[in-house]
Amino acid sequence: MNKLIRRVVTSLILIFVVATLTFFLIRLMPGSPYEVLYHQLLMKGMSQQQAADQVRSLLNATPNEPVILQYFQWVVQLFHGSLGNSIAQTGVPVTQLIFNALPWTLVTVTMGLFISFFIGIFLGVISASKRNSWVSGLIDNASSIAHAIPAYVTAVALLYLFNVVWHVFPSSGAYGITVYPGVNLPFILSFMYHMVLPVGTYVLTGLGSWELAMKATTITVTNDDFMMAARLRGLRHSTLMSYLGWNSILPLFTGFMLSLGAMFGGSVFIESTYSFPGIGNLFGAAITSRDYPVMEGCFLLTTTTIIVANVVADLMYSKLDPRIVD
Amino acid sequence: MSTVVDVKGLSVTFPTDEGVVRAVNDVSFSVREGESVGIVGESGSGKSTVAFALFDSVPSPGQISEGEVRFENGKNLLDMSEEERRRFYWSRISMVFQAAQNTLNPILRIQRQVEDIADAHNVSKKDAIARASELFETMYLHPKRVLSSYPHELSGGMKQRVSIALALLLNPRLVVLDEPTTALDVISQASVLRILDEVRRNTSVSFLFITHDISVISQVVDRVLVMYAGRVVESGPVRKIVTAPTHPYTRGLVASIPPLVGDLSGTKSVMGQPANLMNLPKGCAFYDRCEIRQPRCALEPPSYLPIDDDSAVACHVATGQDQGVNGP
Amino acid sequence: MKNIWKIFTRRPSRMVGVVLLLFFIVLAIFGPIMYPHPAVPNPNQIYAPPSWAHFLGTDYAGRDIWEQIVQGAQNVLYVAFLGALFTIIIGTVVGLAAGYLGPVVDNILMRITDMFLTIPSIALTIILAVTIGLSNNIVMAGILSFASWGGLARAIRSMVLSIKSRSFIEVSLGLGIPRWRVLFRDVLPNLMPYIVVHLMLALTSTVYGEVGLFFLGVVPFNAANWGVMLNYATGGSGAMYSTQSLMFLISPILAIVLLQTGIVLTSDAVNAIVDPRLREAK
Repeated sequence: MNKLIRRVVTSLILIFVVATLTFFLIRLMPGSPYEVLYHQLLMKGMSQQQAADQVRSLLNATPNEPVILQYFQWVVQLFHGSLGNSIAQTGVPVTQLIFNALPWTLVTVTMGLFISFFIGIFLGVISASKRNSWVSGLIDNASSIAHAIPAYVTAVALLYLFNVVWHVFPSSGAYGITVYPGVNLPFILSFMYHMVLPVGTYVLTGLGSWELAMKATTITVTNDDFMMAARLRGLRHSTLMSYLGWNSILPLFTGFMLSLGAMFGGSVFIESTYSFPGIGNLFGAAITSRDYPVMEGCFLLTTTTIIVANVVADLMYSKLDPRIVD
Repeated sequence: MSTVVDVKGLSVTFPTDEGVVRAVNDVSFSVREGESVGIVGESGSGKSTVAFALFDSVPSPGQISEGEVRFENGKNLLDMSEEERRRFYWSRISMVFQAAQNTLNPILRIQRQVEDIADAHNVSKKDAIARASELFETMYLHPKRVLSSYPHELSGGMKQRVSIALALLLNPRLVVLDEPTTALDVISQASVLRILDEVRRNTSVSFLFITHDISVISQVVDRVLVMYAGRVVESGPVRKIVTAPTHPYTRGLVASIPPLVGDLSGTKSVMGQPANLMNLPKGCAFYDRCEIRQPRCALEPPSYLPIDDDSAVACHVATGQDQGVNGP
Repeated sequence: MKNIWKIFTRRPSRMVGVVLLLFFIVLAIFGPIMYPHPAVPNPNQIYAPPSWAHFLGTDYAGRDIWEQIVQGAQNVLYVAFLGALFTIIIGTVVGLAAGYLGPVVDNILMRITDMFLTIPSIALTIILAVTIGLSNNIVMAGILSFASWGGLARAIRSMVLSIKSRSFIEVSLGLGIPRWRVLFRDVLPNLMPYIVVHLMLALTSTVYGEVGLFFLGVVPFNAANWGVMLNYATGGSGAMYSTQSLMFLISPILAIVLLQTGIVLTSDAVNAIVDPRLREAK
């Protein structure tokens, strides 16, 4: 229990440090949301004075406040549970934007993770059992290549094939325009329908690492003395397989939660390709408009997700593997 | 007394890039009921391979190229179906492994592993646990505590005793022990050997000990086979082998046993390197290291011949095949 | 030498990989000589189909696609390779220092490494790219490697710790041989196979990141880049929705897929060459 508390405290500190670093990093970006808007207004034909006034009233902020002061305001806000307001979407709280976007990403990423994990493990076991045949080489190479092909390329290719060529799946959005979000069947069906391509992309790009890891651990465990011993004990085939399976999968669990973070990162590419209204898309848009608070919010949220996932992974692992003593 | 296992003309080959290696070459022996036999040899002599061949589980890519293995005059093991074999293993013949520390499934409690064995051989789990507890008790282990432990919670000596108990769980006719004490400290070694000796005296189970150290097993075996370069070079009652070895290699092995008391200066190890299986000489495999070699030894390999009722040796000089130095 | 040949004949895919990778390396080296100037727009040749004059046809402005692919190859490969090299160097140095210089250094470095492993690397890379700006290729390579050396550092550290506990290292240190010499003579060579294999892995992820930054369009477009092409093909130009412009969409996709395939298959070969344990028995 003591250990858990320590983990939580160090995690909180880590989150705070990361948040602080990114805060300053983001303020160092060339161009500011004020400039972006200011130039837009100038292009619309306003005079400089008019545009400046407009910016001030629209964004409700003084652009030239020192960064350090902005930081302290931000920290104070943070302790009140606020991430500030969006600059691009004037006045909308960042938390609201994030909580509107988060469920979509969370559901697709989790689905993608589970499906790629199971397919990867399945392929890994097959590859390990046919270790010296061409089947193994084919599976390994195909998985590694699928893993190495960038998510945005896979996404574009899937979009082209299944939307443009075959008209099977929709090209954008998380649900159809005729349904209302909520717990109702038409919405859930529509959501699942819209989810197929994004989840498919996560699966294709994610399964490679599971396949390779599973193959490696399966081969190691197969050659372990205890497997030989188990065979000579005349254990049933099903028992042998469960010995082999659990001992091979266990080491993969740590990676399971960690990859959640990588997938959140990949969502920037995948969601922007499918115009999927999740965190990745929000982050991408925030960068284009230099929407500082939204960028920070997304970054903070992703980091926190990864850290929480880490802690959960450790806890889960120590429950699953008796060798880990806590 | 009936024969428990009968091995005839067993050869095991390993294909390598440089050609086929015969790790075990035409080995024959048998073990009778209640008898305890030791196979002694250096590493690479093929002794462990023989042990695994009894289970037709020679490490890959090795394979049994010739010979037969029969238990209790029954079917040749090599002709059995997978399922027949599975049921046969552990209920009739079991094994205690060299690295017993690593032979338990690391993520299951001992109890579960006992139950898995029971389940595999249609024994009731309750009976198996009762039997295991009884065996643990005779091995000075706390049954309840051991059953509820994971392997990593036990010490090396404890794990070795657990694995001996597991080997005896289904009352097999033959237990193969591959270097059962090598990985243990001296104290655990002595205690494991004492336990094995007790089991041997109190039951009709047969043991086949595989070891490189003849001194370790001399108290627990009746008969010894000495292997060199894949062949049996000498066999006989343990007392005879230890006190009056015939083959020069056996003599070397026995001379390398340090005395428990007294002068260590008489102790010496067998000179030279173990034979290279890749490149065996035309004649006797021990020729290069032999202290009593004769010209003939370089030319033709000696045959394995009986020298009296219960002993046999493969040596031109010892069997008098060469100018009758040591005539029968 | 014979063994290496065997490694290739056992799995012909490895040969395919090397050929693919070499193809792109040749493009990268000789591309700038073949096409020293940016592709010229030609309003009369918009979305021309493949022909002898235009291998892969032309884009929305009538520019030759093949020319752009070739010019992109140089940029992609150069930055990706440099980025992978930086990743390897940072990861190795941090890992060696942590594993070799004692518990205090180890603790500090591993805390930092953990932090880098925790930060979502793609998001950090994007923010860095926007903030610092992709003023030149070396800066870009640095940005790509900045967020991605953590895994290697961890792996190297644990390997150093295990090598250090082996007897021959303890003996060397006990004999008073200088630590740095033991490091370079005994420790580093033992890590080399792993580092070489990791270089290939790092290469696939720097290609991923490099092209991705341009694809996202969050950074100012500079030279010809496959990511820029893909961005235009899927976005503004509408190339995706017209069969006429198919080549403009497919060309950058194919270039990226083939390059990554080449790297992955080559790394399979490299793996088999440097790691004797992985060589299949007979």
